[in-house]
Amino acid sequence: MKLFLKLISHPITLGVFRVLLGLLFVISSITKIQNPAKFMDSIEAYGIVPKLFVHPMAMIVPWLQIVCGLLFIFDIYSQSSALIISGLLVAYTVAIAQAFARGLSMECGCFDMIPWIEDRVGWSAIIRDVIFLCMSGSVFLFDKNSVNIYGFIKKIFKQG
Amino acid sequence: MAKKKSTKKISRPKRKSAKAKVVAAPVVTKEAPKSGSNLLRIGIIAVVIFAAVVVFAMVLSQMRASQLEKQAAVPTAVPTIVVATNPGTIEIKDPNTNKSAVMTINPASASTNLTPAQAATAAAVAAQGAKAAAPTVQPAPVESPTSTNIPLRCRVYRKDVDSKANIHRIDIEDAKYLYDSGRAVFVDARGPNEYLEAHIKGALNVPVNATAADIAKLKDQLTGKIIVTYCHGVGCHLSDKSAYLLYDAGYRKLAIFFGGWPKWNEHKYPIVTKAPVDQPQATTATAR
Repeated sequence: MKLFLKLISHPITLGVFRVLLGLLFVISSITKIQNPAKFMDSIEAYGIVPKLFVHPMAMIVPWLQIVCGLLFIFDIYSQSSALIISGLLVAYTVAIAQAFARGLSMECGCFDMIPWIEDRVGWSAIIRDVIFLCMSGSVFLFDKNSVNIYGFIKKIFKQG
Repeated sequence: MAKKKSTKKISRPKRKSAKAKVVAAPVVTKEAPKSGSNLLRIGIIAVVIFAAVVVFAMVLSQMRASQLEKQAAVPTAVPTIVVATNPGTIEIKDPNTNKSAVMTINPASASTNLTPAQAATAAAVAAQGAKAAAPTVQPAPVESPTSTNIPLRCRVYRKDVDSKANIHRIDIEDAKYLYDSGRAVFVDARGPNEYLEAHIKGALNVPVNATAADIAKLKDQLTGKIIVTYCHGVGCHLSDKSAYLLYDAGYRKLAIFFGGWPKWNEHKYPIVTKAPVDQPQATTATAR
């Protein structure tokens, strides 16, 4: 257990988690920003969000994803971004799980731009989101909430 | 001297205590980490990021909306076609640029493509000659998916599609017209449970995991009909996949109703819902 904790709290592991999740979130948000109408339909298809909130959600969530993804990649306020990303992942997991429980056989609208990721409501989507949640959770718990990229750039300039 | 000695003696314990404090100081800071305030800081930054994104997204959507409004407000001046003074020429005027262009047409080739109504109008124009007549040529109804005439538009669906990419995508108007015409059979591409729960009245169930044998069982109901597949609506691609399955099974009169179940339900068109709990197997028709 100690070894596992040591492993997931290691800076390199956290760095890998951040870059992986950051890239996933940035890539998945691009199609949603390009085509908000489709994302609106995806949200509506789950049937859990009141119609009044579908449009604001479709406008805000993709930008939230892209901003948090970029903050993750560049290691800026990682813990705060991890908090938001974890929140989003919890919401996605709950939405997919309830759709699956209701027997809805539909596309989840999560990663429609990445062909090798299963984009359908089902066990695989739930497990995948839980894994992502664990990754963002470990960043939230063990990473530092600082602007590391700023310090890094500063260091480069000083050396220069 | 005595005084000096006494001061030295007194000062020794003070140094010891100072050293002890220096050693103790880092221990105290390690034992009491500021976890609460750190969490608060993380939370505050998260809220700030969230708020910034919300404001940004709202501003962006407002900008988009205003841009669309502006585009809608700009009068779209369509180039007008004026039949020119000389027979066999057409003058096109663009009000946006105030430019005009005169095209010479070959009446012989033009007449071959004209409908009788257009030919009659053209003949009248030719007769008027230099009188600068500018009759409005009414385009004859065209059998195409973009036609405003629904029955005419729906004639296209009776023709076979030559590839999966060319399977027609139809809206609620066409779907309802085809439904009422009796020429179409609706195919529910959703899962069997959802189909049993509720579906378009008379629809068959061909889920995406249906085998060729399953489709073959429905041969009698599908043959000779326009097959309209549907699922959960615009974001759903199950209807596409079912249509492809049917295409692979040899059916060519295919259409995908992209509005799907939500749109049909929204318009309160005929559906079949599952019977109450005491009769789980039976289905009842609900024409609305």
